Amino acid sequence: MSTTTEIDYITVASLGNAADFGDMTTSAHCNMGSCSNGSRGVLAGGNTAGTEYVDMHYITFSTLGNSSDFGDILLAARMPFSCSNGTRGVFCGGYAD
Amino acid sequence: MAHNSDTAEYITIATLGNSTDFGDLVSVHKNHSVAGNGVRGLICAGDDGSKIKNIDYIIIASLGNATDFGDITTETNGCAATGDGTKVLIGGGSVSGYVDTIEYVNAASTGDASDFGDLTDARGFFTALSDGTKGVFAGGDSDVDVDIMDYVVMASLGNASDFGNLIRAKEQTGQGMSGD
Repeated sequence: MSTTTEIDYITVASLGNAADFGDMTTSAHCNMGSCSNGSRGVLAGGNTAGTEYVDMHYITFSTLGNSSDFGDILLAARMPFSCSNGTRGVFCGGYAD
Repeated sequence: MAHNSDTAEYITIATLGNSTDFGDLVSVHKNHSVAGNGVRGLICAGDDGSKIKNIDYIIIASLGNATDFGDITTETNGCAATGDGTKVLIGGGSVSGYVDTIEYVNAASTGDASDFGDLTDARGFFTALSDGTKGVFAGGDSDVDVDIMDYVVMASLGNASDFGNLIRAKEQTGQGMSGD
């Protein structure tokens, strides 16, 4: 499995191809959970082959660029998928091998 | 540490810091999908060792355990979900092979999912996001990694149409998110 640090973005209202937003400032992860409050996006957990991660990173939607450290989730997990109400983000389920 | 999670944890998005315990899900959900309507969060299908079809929900503003919402049609993992504030759409995933189905539920009620339409390509382990008008499904595994993005109009049942392409073909892309 190859992984990447790339963050792609699209403008949902406009059909077209994705463009480069920036990079995760961490080792390349896949299967990250994410949530947003409309201005900040938080990405959490994820994995590379055989290793799950505990870190959370954030981006600011209005500014292309790399992610910054947010904090940690409770347990390293792949697929800590999330929902939000604009204030709170809740990460639900996931697993580590 | 190996674990299969039936738990939920939360952050305050505006405030940097570690997550805190929220409560427990009805069952283990891995290789699942999560979306909501801004009030409820729906934890959809996946597997707990075997593929499952149950949907749990939480009230995002209130710490506590999840409650049963209903089921999608077939036990599926690797599906992707997104919501527009009213509907939650659950697309694709793996049943015995990858499927192109999109189902939906009304997030404010409870009950089983209904047919919405079809993706342009059967695939799973991919991303979905919405701006409240369109729902976009991106990337995934279609036996090979794909760079496909397709979209639906969330308010109107129907099949997906081509949106464009990712920078490169990717699977296990995790969740997408929107600043809208």
